[in-house]
Amino acid sequence: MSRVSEVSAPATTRSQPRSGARPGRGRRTTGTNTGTGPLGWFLLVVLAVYAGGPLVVFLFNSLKSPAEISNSPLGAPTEWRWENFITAFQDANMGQGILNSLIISVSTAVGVCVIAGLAAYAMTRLDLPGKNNWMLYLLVSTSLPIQMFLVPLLTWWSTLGLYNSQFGLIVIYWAIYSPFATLLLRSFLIAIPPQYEEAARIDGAGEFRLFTSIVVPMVWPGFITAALVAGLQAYNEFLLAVTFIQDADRLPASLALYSFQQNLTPNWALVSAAGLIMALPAIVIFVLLQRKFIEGYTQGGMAN
Amino acid sequence: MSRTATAVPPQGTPLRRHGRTKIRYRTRGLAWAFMAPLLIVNLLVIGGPGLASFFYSFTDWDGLGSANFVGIANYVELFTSPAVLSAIQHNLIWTGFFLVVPMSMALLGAFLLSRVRRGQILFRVLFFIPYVLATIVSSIIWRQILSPTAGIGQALQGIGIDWFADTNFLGDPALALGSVAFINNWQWWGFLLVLFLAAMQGVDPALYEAARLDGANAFREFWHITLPGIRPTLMFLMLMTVIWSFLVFDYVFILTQGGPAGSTDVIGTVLYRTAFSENRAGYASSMAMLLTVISAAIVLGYQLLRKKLKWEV
Amino acid sequence: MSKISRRVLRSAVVAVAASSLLAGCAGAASSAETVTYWAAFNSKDTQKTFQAEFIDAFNESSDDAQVKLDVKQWSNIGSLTDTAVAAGRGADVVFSPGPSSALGFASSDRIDSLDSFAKEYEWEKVLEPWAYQASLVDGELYSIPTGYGSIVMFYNPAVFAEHGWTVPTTAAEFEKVATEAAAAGMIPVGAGNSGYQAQSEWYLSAVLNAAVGPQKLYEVLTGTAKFTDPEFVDAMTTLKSQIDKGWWGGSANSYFTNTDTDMFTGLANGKVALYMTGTWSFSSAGSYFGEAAGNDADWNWAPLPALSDNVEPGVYPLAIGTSLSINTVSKNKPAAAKFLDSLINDPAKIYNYMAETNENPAPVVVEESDFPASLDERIARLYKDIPKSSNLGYASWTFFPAATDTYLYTEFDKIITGDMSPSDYLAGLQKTFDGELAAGKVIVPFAPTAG
Repeated sequence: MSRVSEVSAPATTRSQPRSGARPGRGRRTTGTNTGTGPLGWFLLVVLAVYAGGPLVVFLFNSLKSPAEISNSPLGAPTEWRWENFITAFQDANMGQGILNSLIISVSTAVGVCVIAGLAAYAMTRLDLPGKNNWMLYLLVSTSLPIQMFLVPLLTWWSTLGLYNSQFGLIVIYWAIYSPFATLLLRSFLIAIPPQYEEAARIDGAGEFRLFTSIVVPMVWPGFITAALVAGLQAYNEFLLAVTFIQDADRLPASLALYSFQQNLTPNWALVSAAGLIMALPAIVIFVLLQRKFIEGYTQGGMAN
Repeated sequence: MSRTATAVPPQGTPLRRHGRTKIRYRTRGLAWAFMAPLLIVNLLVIGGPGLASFFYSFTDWDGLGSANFVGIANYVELFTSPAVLSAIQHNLIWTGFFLVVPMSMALLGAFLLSRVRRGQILFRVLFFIPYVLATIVSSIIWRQILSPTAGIGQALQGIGIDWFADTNFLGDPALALGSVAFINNWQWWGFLLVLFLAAMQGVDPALYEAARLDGANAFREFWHITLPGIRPTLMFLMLMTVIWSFLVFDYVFILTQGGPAGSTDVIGTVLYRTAFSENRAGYASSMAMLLTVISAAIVLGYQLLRKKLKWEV
Repeated sequence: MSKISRRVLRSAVVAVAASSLLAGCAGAASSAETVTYWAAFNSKDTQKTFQAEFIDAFNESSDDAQVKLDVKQWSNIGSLTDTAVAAGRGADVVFSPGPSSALGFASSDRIDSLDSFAKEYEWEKVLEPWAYQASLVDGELYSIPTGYGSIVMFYNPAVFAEHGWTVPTTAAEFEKVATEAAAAGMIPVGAGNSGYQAQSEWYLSAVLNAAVGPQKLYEVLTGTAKFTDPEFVDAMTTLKSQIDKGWWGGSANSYFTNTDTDMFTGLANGKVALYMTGTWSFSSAGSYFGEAAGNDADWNWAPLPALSDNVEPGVYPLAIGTSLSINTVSKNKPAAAKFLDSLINDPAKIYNYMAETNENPAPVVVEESDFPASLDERIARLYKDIPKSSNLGYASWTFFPAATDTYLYTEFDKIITGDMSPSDYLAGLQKTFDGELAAGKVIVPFAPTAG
């Protein structure tokens, strides 16, 4: 998609809505920001402690033994068991798992963007009948508990030959994560005045070409946002993954969080270590994308 | 604000209407073509099994064997079952909590952060990390923090604050639901904050300048400029919050499984137990239908409200 | 024909989708040569040992049939199997967490009767009579039990010596120890259901067997007595009064936040006096005591004490943790049966595996000479005692049907909090049980042998 936008989107068309969308950015950064007073900083630090404190507990957990977690839940580990990470990584085959997770999450994110982007375009730009009903349908379809669908879905997937394949799982993710992404992208698209495409439309460009070369680049940050949300959800998903994939070497890393037992009780130390290993790629991706992610909302503002 | 609330709709709506009369026949088929991928996967994965659930909700299906038609018996049981009625109450409490606590925290944090230049990225990433963690991981962390024997209560006691020394957050039926919600909040509010923060950057700074010239303080700026400026985002997320609050399952299931004594049971956990522990999939399907009806009602209610207040989202 | 069209469809899907994702899309269910088997293990080491001694050994000795092991987790193997089998899929060898679940599969024709294989392999002689009996549905064998255990009382001998206690066998002795432990600031009887609500039924099974007795439970399970009878009301009322005294898990609120790990840790450090739980804990107890846990504590166990004067002390409630059956849709049933037979036909091998992994053995008829010397004495004692005992009882998760069992442990919370009286609780239990008994969802239990 990025290739298309680079090749065919005229630079002027792209820059226009951007500069229009953020009329005051320059002014704002240069002077009008008053900053935050001592009370503001105090509150921010309180919130940071609230967010960060438990993360310290999390780190400690991953370095303890299960008995120590039970005995001293909050204290620092008496012995720092770095080997927990190695054990977790090896025993749950997390190398393969994370690779699978990345394949599944990225495919989910890309697919959701395509599906939701097309649908949002139809809902905002094309002559789709019953627009409010579509919103109702999408919102209601996010409210159905997927656990109830496992048996019929498994029967169908089995017939279609989609059972026990990552592709089959990804199709399910496309379906369940697309409605939210569609509504999100719809709000981005509404924010962009349609006259940008009108000129091209009058020139006789096809709708699909309009969509890929003009509309997509304009709401590109919206796609980043939708992709991040869908990708993260797929990354942490577990129930559907274990139900629809049987072969251990195709399963995602989220499985690791359930594979450390100490008789009937999970081994929380190894679960924490695996959780930390699993979180790292996601955190790195967020740090890399977060500026785009923020811009996503800035650009569209989820506005109407 | 200028862009979102006033500039776009007057421009956008007539233009679209104008375009429609011209290209109606070209785009109607095309519109369906653009919707097709969404519709196909949605009907395949959600619509089809949803219809199957609707059918099963009128049967005594055990999840394995054949299903016998039982009329509306499941629905009669649904609306007379104390477990379901108390679960609905808990879902309502949950909804209230999530409309207030994470929303306020995220709005406050985002507003403060939007006025900070240096270190904003650091805070932003820190606040977002909990959202990245898997549910089971954040559940373990908080189960330990709230441990009644060596958790936060005892730690505070160690420094002379014995407010929570005898509090058992997850074990006391009066506190358990709130505690689970609070734990879920830890993971959730940072996500909202990042969304709000982004939305706030779309608010026209000129408005702040004007307000400042009028001598407005931070609170007034927040109330009169920021809040109206991010209203579309706020409303959208509130709507999603209500719908998601009726679907809540994983935190409750991992932390308390609906206990102690049903004090944290929500429709999601009752449904799960009914379907998978008691093997009453037909009855559980009627609960799924209830969830659908509730969220449809919420969306319709929202659409009515929107029409009345003449909002665009 | 349908096979061909499925293949066509599959190749169509392959054509439109990214090929890398579909690399292994085809053929998940049983092919003609491979028997698939889903299993969960307590640890990676156990899994490796099982793979070597049972899977690889079988595959080497077999000319045609090969077994493929798919490893699942204890937390999801049951629900995964249910979903897959309900959708007409699943492994050739179907897992159930005990004969009650197997009954559900049997009555909806998801698993096959094993009678012909049972004759061929003489399973009636191989298995303990009580276990064979429990695995019958309408007189036909539908599952093979491959792991059994009981509920016993764990304690820390050093802590007992320190307080001058002897291991209780009668209700009076039990109350004496509990009273003194409470006075010493200990949790007298470990209990809790945090993280796993069904833990409550471990304690409830102990109490019902030890306070009401196997004979009465048998009568209830066969429909000739009721949970609402005075013996049950007395037992639950006594239990409630003990909970109110803080004997079970410390207090009502802490019951809901104690974990199984907490209780074993408490036994090791002297904070918990007694803990009545399942013998599956044999495999993990070691990690809380001694060198592995960085203390010098040790554990031991004793049979359950009598909790009322009507019951003979030392009852062993029997539990089957794993039952295996053959999927109706399997294409390789004789091979699957041959594999099932390989899991139970060699007692010496089973007990040797137990010595290596501390896993529960299959309930097979075993000679004491088959016990390897390397088997932990404490574990050997249990499995030598049970075949000799005439005081055998019924664990709820093995002998109670699904909804009754769920009611037993979920509604029990309300007894603890005082929201429900023992008699109301038992009335609800009986009502749920009546429905399932009428619907044919209750397995026929073995007849008790004790007076």
